[in-house]
Amino acid sequence: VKYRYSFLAFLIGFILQSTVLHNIQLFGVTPNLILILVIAFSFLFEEKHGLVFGILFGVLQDMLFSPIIGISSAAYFGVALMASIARKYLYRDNFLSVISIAAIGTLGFNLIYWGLSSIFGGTYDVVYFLLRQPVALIYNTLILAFLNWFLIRKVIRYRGFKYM
Amino acid sequence: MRWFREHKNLVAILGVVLILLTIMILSYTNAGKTSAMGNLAGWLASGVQQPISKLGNNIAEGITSVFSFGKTKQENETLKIKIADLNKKIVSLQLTTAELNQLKELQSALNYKGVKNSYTYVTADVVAIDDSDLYKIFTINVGTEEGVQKDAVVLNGDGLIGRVFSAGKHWAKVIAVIDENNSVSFRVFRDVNLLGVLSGDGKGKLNGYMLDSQSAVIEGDMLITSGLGTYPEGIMIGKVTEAVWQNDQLIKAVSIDPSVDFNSIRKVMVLSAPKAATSGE
Repeated sequence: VKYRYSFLAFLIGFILQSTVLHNIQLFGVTPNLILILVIAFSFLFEEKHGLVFGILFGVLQDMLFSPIIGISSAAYFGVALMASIARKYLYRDNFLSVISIAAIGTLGFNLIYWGLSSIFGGTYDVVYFLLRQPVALIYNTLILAFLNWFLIRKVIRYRGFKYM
Repeated sequence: MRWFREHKNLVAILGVVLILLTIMILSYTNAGKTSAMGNLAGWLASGVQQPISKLGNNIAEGITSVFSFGKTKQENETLKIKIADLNKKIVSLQLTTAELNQLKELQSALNYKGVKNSYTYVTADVVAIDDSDLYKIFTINVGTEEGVQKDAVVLNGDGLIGRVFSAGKHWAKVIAVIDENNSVSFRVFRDVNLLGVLSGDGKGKLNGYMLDSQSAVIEGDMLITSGLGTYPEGIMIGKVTEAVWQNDQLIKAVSIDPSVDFNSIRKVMVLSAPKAATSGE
């Protein structure tokens, strides 16, 4: 996948997340499209798009929605690294691998985010944070499974082909 | 140098971590200041996201109204009864208006300068909000050009929302009161002599304590801002859900359910102090 296509995907994801997705929130939680794209690009493709755009859109997200800039970037960076490493050990065409990596990635992202927020003066309670996780896990896993099954597998048949 | 060449990936990872850490520390120490990059992000939010946000909200509202027809009908009946009640109140208030006008004339005759009602306000739309993370921070489509400054108070019809965290030309980032470490001073609406202090409880609600540990605050009491500190007097904060004496700290602690539903904020009002003259109404 070329960088301009992945950039477009991240841009659309970012705009949708900050404008429309709050209308489908469940218990105050909405899906995190940037995180889903970071996991998808890091786990399913060879290139470093997830890593690069995770950092870039993480900064943008923090500028608009967080008191501290850099927290989301660091969390996306951590998840992208984790998914890239997992790609070497897990069979990426296996549906179960995709679901597992989405769940672990969501939990990992939120843990890093909560940990860094707490270091920089965040007051959020660990129990409250943990209670939000099941909804976030279900949302993100379902969307990544949908993306993987209906879009990535059908549209991009040869993911390793670098001239696409 | 050879070690660096042999461990390129590790060096790159450490480099990124170091840069991100520096950004975080700088942003922590300069909290609330707007950088050129921040201005660009704000411009993107207010310019590009506003129409999409509006469209999304309209569609969501349309779908919701179709499915909640029964509820709307019931609400309509309740509102009719409320209107009748309010009409009765209008009559009695008109009588007091005459008295108030007399007092205002007296105030101007004595050249008395009051502090109340000296705020101007500007209304704004929420153009970008992200519920995927912990914070309830959102972007609105008014900024310094409209007279909105850092720390300006933000509210809606239900009550206190929070304050402006940082502001650009035509946008501002708002932090909700439930995310705040800073304390907000309050009064009990039933008895305005009962004062206390509250802040975010880290669970999406508010908690605080009474200044006088003997205060007779009870469950169900409504709380309003006291006027001490950043927030002007009389803004609804929420309802007391629990008031307990804490033996270990020797205080009367209160848990508060905010009057604002932070999950469905669409329109807000920003209050500006008289010093920061506003162009909007």
